[in-house]
Amino acid sequence: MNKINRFILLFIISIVFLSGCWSSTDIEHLSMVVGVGLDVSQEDSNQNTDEDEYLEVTYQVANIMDTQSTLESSEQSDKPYKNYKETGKSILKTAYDVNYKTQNPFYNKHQRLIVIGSELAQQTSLQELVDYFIRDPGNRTSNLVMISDGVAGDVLESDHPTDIPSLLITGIVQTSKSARILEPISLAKLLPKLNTNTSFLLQNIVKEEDEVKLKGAGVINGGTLKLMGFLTEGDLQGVTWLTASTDEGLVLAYDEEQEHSISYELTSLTSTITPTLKNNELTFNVEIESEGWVAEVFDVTDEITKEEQLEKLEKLLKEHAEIHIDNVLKKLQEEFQVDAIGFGEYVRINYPTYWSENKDNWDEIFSQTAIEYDVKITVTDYGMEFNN
Amino acid sequence: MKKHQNIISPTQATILIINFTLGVGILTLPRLVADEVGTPDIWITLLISSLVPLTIGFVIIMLNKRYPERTFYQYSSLIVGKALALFIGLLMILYFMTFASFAVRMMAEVVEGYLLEGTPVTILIVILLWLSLYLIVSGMTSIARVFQIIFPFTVIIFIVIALMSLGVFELNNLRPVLGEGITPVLKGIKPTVLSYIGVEIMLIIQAYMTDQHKAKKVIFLGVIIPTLLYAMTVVMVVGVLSINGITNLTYPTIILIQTFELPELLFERLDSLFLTVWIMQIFASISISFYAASLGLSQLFNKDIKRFIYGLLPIIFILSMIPRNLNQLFWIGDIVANVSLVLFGVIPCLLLLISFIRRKVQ
Repeated sequence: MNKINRFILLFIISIVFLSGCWSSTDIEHLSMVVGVGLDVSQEDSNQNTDEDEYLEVTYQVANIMDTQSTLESSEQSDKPYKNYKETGKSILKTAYDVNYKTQNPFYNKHQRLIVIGSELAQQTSLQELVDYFIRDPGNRTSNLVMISDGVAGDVLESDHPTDIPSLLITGIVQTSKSARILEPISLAKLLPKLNTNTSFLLQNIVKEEDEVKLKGAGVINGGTLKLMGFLTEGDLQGVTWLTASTDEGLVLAYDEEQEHSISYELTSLTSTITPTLKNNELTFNVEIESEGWVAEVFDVTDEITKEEQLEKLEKLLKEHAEIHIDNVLKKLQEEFQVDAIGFGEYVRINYPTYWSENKDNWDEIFSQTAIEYDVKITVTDYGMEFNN
Repeated sequence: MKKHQNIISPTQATILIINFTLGVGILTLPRLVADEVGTPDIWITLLISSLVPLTIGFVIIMLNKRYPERTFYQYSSLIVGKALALFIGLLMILYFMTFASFAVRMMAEVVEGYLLEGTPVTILIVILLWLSLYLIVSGMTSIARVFQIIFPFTVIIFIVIALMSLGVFELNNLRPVLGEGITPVLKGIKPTVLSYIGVEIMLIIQAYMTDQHKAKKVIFLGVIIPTLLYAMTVVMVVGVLSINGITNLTYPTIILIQTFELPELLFERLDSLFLTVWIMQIFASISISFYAASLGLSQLFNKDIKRFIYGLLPIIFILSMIPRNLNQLFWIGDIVANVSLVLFGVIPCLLLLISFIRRKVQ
């Protein structure tokens, strides 16, 4: 009898300890935030809102259960996500406010993307905008940060029935290695730049004809940490050549003489950036070396792959690269006057004392520094089509 | 019978020291050192400052060797007389208690923030303290055995995390090496040494160790293994987040683990895994210091240890609830570390000296 009693007691106690986590929430009862868009509030009539409520935050929530979405709103039931917009003075405030509109609490541990609208980025320091995302222990620092030349909320809209824009964008950026796309910048990588007031580039993403498009990059001024302007896709290609940020990608050159275009696919790209300090005068020398193969020739002739043509082709590609490099350097040094491509890093490593003296006005020095570069392109292969 | 209960092998002693050393420091060390040093050379600082605990460790061994099979509490009265020995003993006990309460509160704060949002800190502290009470009433041998189980997990998880972060690692963040000379590197030694608190436990556990001649090896491994684990952590944290990225992060190591996601692996996120291991380490630190404090009381007053274990439990709990916010908690951590440097850096040296002179005179 005593034994049985003990058993019963054990079972009763185990109810307390085995029933699961104390403060657990079922996954269906969470609103999974996958992306956040930050904009300037578009509300022109400030009837009851404070004038300072300038932030408009778009929360993209993935629809986990189909039935749930049909219950909530009939017109959006076919989409796998739902966007909530809220205006406020702080991001956290909007998160609280938007929670009043949903039946489930927001859960941001699976958030992947932060898109910042250009208007907001131009008037507010990035440090202030991302502070909440870094401070919050729930938010992961692997979140990607991007700029949108336009309204960030629009980028997070999609007409496609199966796409969740945030996941689509992060997917594109992480899987595609293109010379026209910037290396993705996560919160973790952003943080040191903000702390040291370094200028940098952020991937620009826009909505064009109902499709999201990665289009160039936003230039962030290190001093103010605000958006200065944009680089085009071509400029980004110049950045890629200079910094060798990718070793895969396609370069499309156009042969004006023969009027055909040639696709050159990179198999390797290295750039050696060496700063030289002489009499307190800094110069940069960049050695760019690339190997690749001709992946497509848009012409009827097969001339292009012949031995004697090779040199001409390499020269053509070299000129092509030089145009982009020239353009981007001109833009950065003359138009923006900031070092957004991380050349300062090499000065910091090679001339630490010079760097610690001059790091505060580095952007100024950079814009007056002579940058010499040399591009060396070797075409190694022509694919499966070979004519000699 | 009692003797039999409290015997540990040299390997177990090494693991005890390692587990005691690794703890709170793993999460905050990169920030503390980066603040002082300001250059990416903080791993050099770590390697250099490991000399300090090594020296302290060897002094302790020399002291212990003169009074075999006795703990510090027992032999200190032979050196400086009863009254002073009681005073030093009580200081040490207070130190171990404060350390335990600091560590347990730290654990509760981190767990509350990252793992169990909304769970009261009090509950987390109480549960962990009960657990370590349960462990230490069974004596030194059981403690050592549990640590032997915990230890391999820690090392494996550490290495896994280090390998995983290689994906986002940038060597340029660690360059230039010694760009601003050796001076900044040396500035970081003090906060680093404070993360190496741990060898002092040898004052107590060596008395229970078999193969006394291996004591030097125990100290050496007990310092070198945490050094390597610390250095690895710091190299990874700086390599991924860069020296400027970590100075304003409360727990840089957790942020490091949050920067990568590996869907290929069974776990997409390793932070909860890492925190689990970290909690085990904190548990180890707490248990040892809790035990060291109780043992001290029992040996100073010649009473059964169990009544002191149960008696100290509420005191450690109350101590741990005193800090009102994180700043106060970090401040207490600072004080604990500074006190440890005096208590275990200076006092053993003095005692060794006095003991030398006494024997000479006799």
